[in-house]
Amino acid sequence: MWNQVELALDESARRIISGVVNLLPGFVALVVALLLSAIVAGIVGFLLRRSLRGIDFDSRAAGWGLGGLAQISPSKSPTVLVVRFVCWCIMLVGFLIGIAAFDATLTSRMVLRLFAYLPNLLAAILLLVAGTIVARFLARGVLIGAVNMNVQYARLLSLGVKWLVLVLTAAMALDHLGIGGKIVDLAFAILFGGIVLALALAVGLGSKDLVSRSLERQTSREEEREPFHHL
Amino acid sequence: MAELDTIAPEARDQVESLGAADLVIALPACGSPEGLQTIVAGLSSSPALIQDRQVVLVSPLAAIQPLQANGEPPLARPGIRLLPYPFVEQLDSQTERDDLRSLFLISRKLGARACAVQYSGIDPATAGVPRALVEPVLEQGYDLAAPYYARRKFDGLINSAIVYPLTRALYGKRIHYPMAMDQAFSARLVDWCCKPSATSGGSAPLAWMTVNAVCAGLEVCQVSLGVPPPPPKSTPELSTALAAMLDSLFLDMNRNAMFWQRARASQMVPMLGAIQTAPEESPAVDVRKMIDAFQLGCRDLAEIWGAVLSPAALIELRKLARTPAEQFRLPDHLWARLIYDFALGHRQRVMNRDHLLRALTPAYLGWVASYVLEVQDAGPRQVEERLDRLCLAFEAEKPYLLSRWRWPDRFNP
Repeated sequence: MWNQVELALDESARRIISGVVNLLPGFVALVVALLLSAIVAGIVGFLLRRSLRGIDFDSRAAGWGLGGLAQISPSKSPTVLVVRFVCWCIMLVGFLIGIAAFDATLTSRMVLRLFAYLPNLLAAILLLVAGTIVARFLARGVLIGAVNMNVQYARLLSLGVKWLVLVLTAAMALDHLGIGGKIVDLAFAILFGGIVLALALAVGLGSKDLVSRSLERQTSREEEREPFHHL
Repeated sequence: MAELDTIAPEARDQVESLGAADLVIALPACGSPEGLQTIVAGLSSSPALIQDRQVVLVSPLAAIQPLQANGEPPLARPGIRLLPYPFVEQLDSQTERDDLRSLFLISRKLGARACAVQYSGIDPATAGVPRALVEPVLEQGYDLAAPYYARRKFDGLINSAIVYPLTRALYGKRIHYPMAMDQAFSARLVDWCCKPSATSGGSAPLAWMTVNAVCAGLEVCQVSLGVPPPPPKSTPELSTALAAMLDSLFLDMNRNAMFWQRARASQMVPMLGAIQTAPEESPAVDVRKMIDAFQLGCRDLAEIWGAVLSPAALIELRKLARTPAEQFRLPDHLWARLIYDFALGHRQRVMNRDHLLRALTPAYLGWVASYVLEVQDAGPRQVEERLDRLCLAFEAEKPYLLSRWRWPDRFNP
């Protein structure tokens, strides 16, 4: 009896040891992959930081309308934010490669799914960046145009345009990430429709005098005699 | 003929058939035989000018009425021939300048000694414009004859507020109407404009011919032409016109930075003909709307202005926005700095250039309001003195521009 127990214990100990031994190369591979990716991330980060500083990325980003980026970035520098983002992406890729070395079906499947999801993630990030740039550009254009037309609520109008584009961008990004499913579509449709309706009502009710005055001015322009000429 | 590639084939053939000419005059606005006859009569009033000289008139009329079989136009005067206008298929604001380049190429091809362009309308009052502009080039050896108009105090305000003071301060020549379209050019200037630039490789842009002539070190004169031509009936919206004008002016400023950084205090430019005064009405102008536009700009565009203006200028503008209408005065030094700051912002591309330049409109309206309040009851002499003070302020502030141009990152309170 004792012999049988001893045999069973030996058996299980051997299994555990052989399991650990089987895992060890994978673990070493993971550590090596992480080390290598850390080195690559360090080199890429160094080169990227130098080139971004060389092109004065911080002030350029502000010029492109990404002033908000400085607020959320460490040391208030978009350069640092971009460098850290790229470094962490490299580390993540290294980690996933290391995990794949375990050769376990589950981890392989997980890695495959993660890799398949990466393009969506990148597309969503790109969408967010592009959307922010477009939103700021349009908002500024609308603000200047409205001020030049002497519209008193120019800032409100510009803010409305900015948030319309941002909401649209966020909905598109979430759709790309597959988060929220139909709820996002539905919420977006309701929100977007609501904003457009509110704007239409505001403009329609609030500006009918403005529109009629503008039409009157248009028709009587020929009769008007400007006392001065700019050109 | 390779250099005439931009011109329509029919016009190119006609240039070939013309052979040579002494004088080429383009009249894009002349579409009637009467207009053409008026111009010919104007040229004939100075017989020495066209005697024994081959003259080519470029007019849309030539496209409607083809040349006769012997190459002579249906004009009473021998030695005057026609060439169709436009030379290119479509005309928009850009091709209009391309058209000037084509005119230069044709003028060069024909070996003309002078070339003139009159974009303004043709009527008996303006019939003498080509003659008056061409004479100094042909007879007195000037390279560019620019018009000098009898100023009405409320006309050409963009010129008075920005273009004249800025070009005078930058390039050191007092050419009062640098943006006038009617001008005459010598063969030397035409050659200079057609040859490739040593720095960029391309030819010099033709948007600001007076600036080109000054930078080329050529002789410029002003010809007094009396009352300016009426502004076109369909003018673009103010901010569009202002942005387009300033964009080309600032681009030229970038291009000619090496020249204007060396230019010091301004000099007079020879004036030909007696200076006339325009009959002036003094209509009551309501400046309230313009001041409102300025205040709105100060309130809502502060973030955009803040990207280009110094903190001190912003504070001054904000203070001005709170001033009662009757005391509303935009100081000359502040206005000069504001224009210089926008030029620097344009150069550094702190934001989309069109946005930046359009954002200047409320400030410009503020200047107009201040100017109107100052000169509403003033006579021509006082107006001239007032604008001269503005020009002197631009000249006095030029070191500020130079310093920020050379060291843009230096602290600027």
